[in-house]
Amino acid sequence: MDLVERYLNAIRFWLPKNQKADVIAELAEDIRSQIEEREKEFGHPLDEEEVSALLKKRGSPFTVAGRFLPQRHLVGPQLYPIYEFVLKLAAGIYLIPAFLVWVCLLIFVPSYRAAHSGAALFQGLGSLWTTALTMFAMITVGFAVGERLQRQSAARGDWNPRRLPAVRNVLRIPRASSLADIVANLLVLVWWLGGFSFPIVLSLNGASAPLPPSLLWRDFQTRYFFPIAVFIGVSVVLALINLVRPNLTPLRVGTRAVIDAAAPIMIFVTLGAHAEEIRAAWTAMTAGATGPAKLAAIRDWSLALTLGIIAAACLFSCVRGVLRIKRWRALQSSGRA
Amino acid sequence: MTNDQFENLRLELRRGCVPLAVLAELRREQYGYTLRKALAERGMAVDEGTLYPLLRRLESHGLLASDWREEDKRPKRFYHLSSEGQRILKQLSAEWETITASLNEIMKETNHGSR
Repeated sequence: MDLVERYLNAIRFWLPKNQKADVIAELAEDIRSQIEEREKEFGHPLDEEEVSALLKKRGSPFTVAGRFLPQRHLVGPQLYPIYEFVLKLAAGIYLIPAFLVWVCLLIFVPSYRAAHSGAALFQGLGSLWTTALTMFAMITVGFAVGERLQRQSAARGDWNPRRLPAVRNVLRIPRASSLADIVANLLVLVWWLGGFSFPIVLSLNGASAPLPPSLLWRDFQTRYFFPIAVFIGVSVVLALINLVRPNLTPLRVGTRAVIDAAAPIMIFVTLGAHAEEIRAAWTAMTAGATGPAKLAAIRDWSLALTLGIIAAACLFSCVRGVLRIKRWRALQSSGRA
Repeated sequence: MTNDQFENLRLELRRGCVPLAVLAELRREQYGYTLRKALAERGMAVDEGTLYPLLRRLESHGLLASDWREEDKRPKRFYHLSSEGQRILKQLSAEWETITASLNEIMKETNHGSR
């Protein structure tokens, strides 16, 4: 009987205060009745093993107690698919690119590798974990609040079918978007070919002085002048085709994905080749360099950061292109494309 | 269809019938264990993890009434239908008749169609 007492005691722990005594008394009676019946059936008092088997069949104390509790959840089945989608989105937009940047730093930047040897290598990942957990917690709390509001709204019945969003054709590029693409790419092309330049205004405490040329930028321009000009030109042509024929084809999406994949490679090769320079720029910025040296350091560091962001955006666009092709194929095979 | 799938659907089908069976069985006053046995003997076995929370829910909705009494020198909680429970049982029984009649009709058509 000690086993039954322990079992009931474990159930009691999880029950709501105002139900504890009542539920336990009823369960105790049920178990005793069952044991008595078994004893009559077997013709002898149940031993510990038989009582244990009987209790095991009833389920763990936590499971039994759980059935007496009201059903509760932070995010319910209606919001859960959106919750999962947002978590994936957060992972895709921030966590995966941040992780890739960390991997690229390890592979292409020897100074980073040298400065973060041994356990220090994972310090960079430590902050990533903290951000990931914070992001997860914030999204979960947001959805938990949304769940409560949605439950209240559903109870009031204030839902209007007319407010549902229009069906979006994911394989169709809006013409406005194609037009914007054409204008933006043409501007970038003219700038890249030297048609105009942006005045760089940098001043520190009101003092300005001629800056030494950026080796990183000059190298990037020299190495990839022609390929990038071609890529931008192809982008203009693609946007023009999209404008005339807005329904995407795998060839167009694939071409875009190849361009998007090439850009990060060019950027990472250049950043890798100038890793020491970038590191020196960081040191100069943080170690209190002054005057033109500090301005040049800020410029080089900002340039490296901007190129890194462009590479991440291109990678994201490339992955999106590949997913689009998969979706196109899926729609084709289902006869809906 | 795997056995697991069949078992899940079978349980789902029976789950909806349990409250009706419990209400019908409690036209006669009983305590939890005897109710469970009575249901099992009539081919409607319900495990205690389902039965006791259901009894509480039905009581909180005012369909059942209960009181603790001593029997065989042990305190037992006896349940019986309340007047509201009797009214609901009547309605549910009528609904059950409609469902079984409709299903029989549908099954008959299905059997004809599958020939």
